[in-house]
Amino acid sequence: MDRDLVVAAQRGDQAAFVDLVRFRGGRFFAIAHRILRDVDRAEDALQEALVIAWRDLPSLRDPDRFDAWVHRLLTNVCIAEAGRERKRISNLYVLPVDDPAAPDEFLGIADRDQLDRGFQRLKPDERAILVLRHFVGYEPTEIAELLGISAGTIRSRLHHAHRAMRAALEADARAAVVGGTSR
Amino acid sequence: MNHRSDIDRVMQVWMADGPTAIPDRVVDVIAARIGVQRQRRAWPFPRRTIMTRFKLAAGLAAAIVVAVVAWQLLPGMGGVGGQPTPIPSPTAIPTSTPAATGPVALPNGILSAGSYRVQPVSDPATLSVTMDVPAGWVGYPANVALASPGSSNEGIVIGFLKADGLFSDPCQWDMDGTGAYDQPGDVEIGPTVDDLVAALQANSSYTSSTPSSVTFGEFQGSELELQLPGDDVLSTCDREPGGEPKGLFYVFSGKEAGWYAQGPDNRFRLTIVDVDGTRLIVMINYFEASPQADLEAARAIVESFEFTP
Repeated sequence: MDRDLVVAAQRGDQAAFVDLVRFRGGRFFAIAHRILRDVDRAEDALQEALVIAWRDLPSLRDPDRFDAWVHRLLTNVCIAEAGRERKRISNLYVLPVDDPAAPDEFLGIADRDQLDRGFQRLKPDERAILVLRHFVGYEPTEIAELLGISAGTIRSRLHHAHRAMRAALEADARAAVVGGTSR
Repeated sequence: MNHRSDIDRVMQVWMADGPTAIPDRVVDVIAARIGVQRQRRAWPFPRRTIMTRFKLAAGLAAAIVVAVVAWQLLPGMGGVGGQPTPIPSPTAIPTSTPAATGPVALPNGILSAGSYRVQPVSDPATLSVTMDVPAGWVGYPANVALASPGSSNEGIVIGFLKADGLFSDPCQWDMDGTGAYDQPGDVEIGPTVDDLVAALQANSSYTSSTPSSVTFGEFQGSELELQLPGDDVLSTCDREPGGEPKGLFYVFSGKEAGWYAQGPDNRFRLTIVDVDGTRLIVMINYFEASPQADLEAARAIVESFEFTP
């Protein structure tokens, strides 16, 4: 079904492309949001990436690779977006959430807060690599192919990002211990 | 605290939390934006590779750069701990080029107005064409081609071919079932410009205009135009294995003739010239909706051609 839509969109069928956006856009938006951690910026990045996708769609040789191709475009747009200094605006939208957040037995609110802060300190490409690995589920070699970087570099950046995120959590744990003994 | 060392699971759980549906307003904005955004034509350039003298020289230069850098990085050669030497990377996206003051080899990217030179065929590799190109056209030296500014669906491409023969049915070109682009056509043609023109006019798979004579300095030739069929025919054509999802329509056959229809109702404006015994085909590839100004610019570029055997 999606393949037919991709082929039709490649031939200039705008309605087919909009259908593709409706069917596949949720996943794309989720990826953008995970990288940018900001609804406004994720929406901007998604719009930009999908307009580029529409413009360049005739160059996609294999319609079955549509998702991976958009992942690449979207990731590059998000990395560029994350690198920009922009005034942060509070998000007041009510977001549609398909699945409620997982119970917080595994990660507490404080953990999530620390992870957020640790993630924001990462370089944009490290954030993107983390999302592609843990949210999308790509293997490092697939991320390497997607971003045009060597697999060794991807593994190195993934290792650094993991270490930084682990350190963020451990800092939270130390703060809790220090707080406990001072009372 | 064991769970905190399981960073993979931590990341998965943490990232599971968040929006997973695209807001309707974003879909609406995208729908509006693509309504005014033209798609870029993906020029399916000819399936051929020409190793010209310029390319060989460029490859040799790159090899020398790599060798020099490697030599400098050897211990004791002053490279260790010093400033790294940048190695130029190939340009994937066309970029602006400096103004050309004299005939220079066609570069990759958006061109400044000037005089450019190409070697359109590998045999004879000495054959070169010099042309005057207005600003904004895009050079594709790997394909020995130029595209009009913008490269939209109505874009224009100027390319070069050398044909050994023709396909009697350009839609059923995969005669041996291998999908190889350089299969010999089933229509043999004689060596002259007139032989090729007559063979093109005799084929009923496309319509051809009445040929007219052209002269480029001492070299003579003919011009004619082919109107290729629409999507109803192209959709039934043989396909490239693992390649374009659309069917391909090949008029010409031969190792240096791999241009196929660039889309439905494509037009080939052909200038066929005998350059000192080499029958060179120059193609202006365009569509009915191509901007008239771009088409006139393409014709002016071809009219400026100076051939050197």
